[in-house]
Amino acid sequence: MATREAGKKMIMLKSPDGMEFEVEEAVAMESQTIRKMIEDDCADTAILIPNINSKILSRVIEYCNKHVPTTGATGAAASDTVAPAALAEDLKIWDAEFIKVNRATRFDLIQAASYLNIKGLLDLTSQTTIDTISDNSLEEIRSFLSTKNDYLPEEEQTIRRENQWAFQ
Amino acid sequence: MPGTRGATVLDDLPEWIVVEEILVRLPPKDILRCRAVCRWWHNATSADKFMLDHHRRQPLLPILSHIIAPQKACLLFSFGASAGKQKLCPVIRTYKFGEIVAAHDGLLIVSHGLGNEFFICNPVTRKCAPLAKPDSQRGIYNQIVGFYRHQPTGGEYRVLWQSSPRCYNAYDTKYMTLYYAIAVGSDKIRYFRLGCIPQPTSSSPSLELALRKGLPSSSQYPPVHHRGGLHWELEKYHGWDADCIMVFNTAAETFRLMSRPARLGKCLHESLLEMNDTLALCSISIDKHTIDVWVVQDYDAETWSFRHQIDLTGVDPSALVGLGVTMIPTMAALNEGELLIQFTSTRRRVLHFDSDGKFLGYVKSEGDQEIKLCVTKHYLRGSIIPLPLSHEMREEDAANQEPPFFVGL
Repeated sequence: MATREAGKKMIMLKSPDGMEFEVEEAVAMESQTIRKMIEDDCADTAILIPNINSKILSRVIEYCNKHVPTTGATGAAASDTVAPAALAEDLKIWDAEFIKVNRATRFDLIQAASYLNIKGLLDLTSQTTIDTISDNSLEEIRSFLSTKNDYLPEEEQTIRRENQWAFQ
Repeated sequence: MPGTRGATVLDDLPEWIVVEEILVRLPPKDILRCRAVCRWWHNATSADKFMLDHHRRQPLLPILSHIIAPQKACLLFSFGASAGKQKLCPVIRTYKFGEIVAAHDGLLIVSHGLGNEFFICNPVTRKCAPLAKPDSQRGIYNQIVGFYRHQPTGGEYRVLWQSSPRCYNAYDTKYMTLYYAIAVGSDKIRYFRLGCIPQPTSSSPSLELALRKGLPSSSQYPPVHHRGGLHWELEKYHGWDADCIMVFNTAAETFRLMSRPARLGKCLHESLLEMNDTLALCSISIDKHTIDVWVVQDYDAETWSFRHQIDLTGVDPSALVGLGVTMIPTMAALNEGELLIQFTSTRRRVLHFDSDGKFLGYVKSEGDQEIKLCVTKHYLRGSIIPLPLSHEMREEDAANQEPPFFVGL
């Protein structure tokens, strides 16, 4: 394993399109999937991340860099000097900027977060879709999400009646 | 486009991600609504695994009650206080002296009327049904002492009943207490324990005696669910020292005694709670100055350790001493490690402490109105799991039979 700075283990992540990313072990271990690989000693040289292209992988690493505990994106031990509440607020603002991406990218990020098992990123990326479902009528949900209604009208009525109160 | 609601095409995502990462995060009401979107959403959200995963994601919330006195009715709220924001959500409204008798896995058993009819209900799906009870016999008092899920039968819900003569007589050799279970959706009775005067050959006379004395009613003193067991702290009473905790193993359906922290002098009241997935015993000092919090260190070895002490001396004394009526303090765990404690039945006096014992304030009602809230010791972890019955009663059918009426979550 490469070592750039004293005490900081580096890990090589490879995307299927051939790009390589050298990241601190602590950053890579924000992903529970990678953490498990490292802990099980399956990660000697480089880790190939299947199904996640370099564009998405770089965004995921960007997210992990920001969210890794004790060291912020600046590399300084932020939490030692900044109050936890202020730090959380800063992260929230950063997350809001980070998620300003188009739909395709957001879906790619959901998939990547799911495969790599990064809870925070998954919460962040899936929330928009959850809000869409919560805030809209069935017809709107179907149209926004391009989900086809395959019920017969009377079947749909029966299902609606089962939980009539949920539609009020 | 950033920040705008684009035409999200969910088909772009693999089905399992839609189900396991998106639908499972929806609030219960939205899941029930979404079943009408399309067939596969309906099937996906009705699968047992999905409903269980969804249930496990819901917070475990203590239930508070608000008595609307003239009608003998009661409004029950689940209380959440995540990220410093308090939220009271209506759960159910009861009539005619109705109260929560037992709660487990998002299902509630609610009593109705003085004749003690019982209903099982799921306030999340707003379904309810009458619950079978044992036949009444003269001079015998039947009461619910626990409610659990029986894993060996694939998760059948069972109600633990206790039958005993109406008056306890320590010297009557014929006095005995009977323990049995009735599965929800069935009226078959499974007997499994008799508490009577221990025989000289008894291997655990203390257990026999404790079972003979009987367990408290689940409505006032529900057992603590922890590690597949129901736990009761036994009160000391004359005749013997009940310095232990009664445990009912819900898989084997057997009773045993477990050791508890040593009593350091007299205390006003003790409460057993589950905090942070650990069994905890909170002991209020007789002068109401402190609360000692003990936690189980090793469950199997039955060892306890002292965790912290809550200092009550800084709390407004009127919150600790009621006017006129004295009540037994009640406690409930919140957000794993926080505590709700109530000493008096006067207004706005449910105290909220953080996991280190720091006083956070009083529980407020919606809009900070002055309503009397009571800690019930029952909890709700919302679930969309259907009632374990073949015939559910809907709210509209139920209205004719005067069952508890739902306000809903």
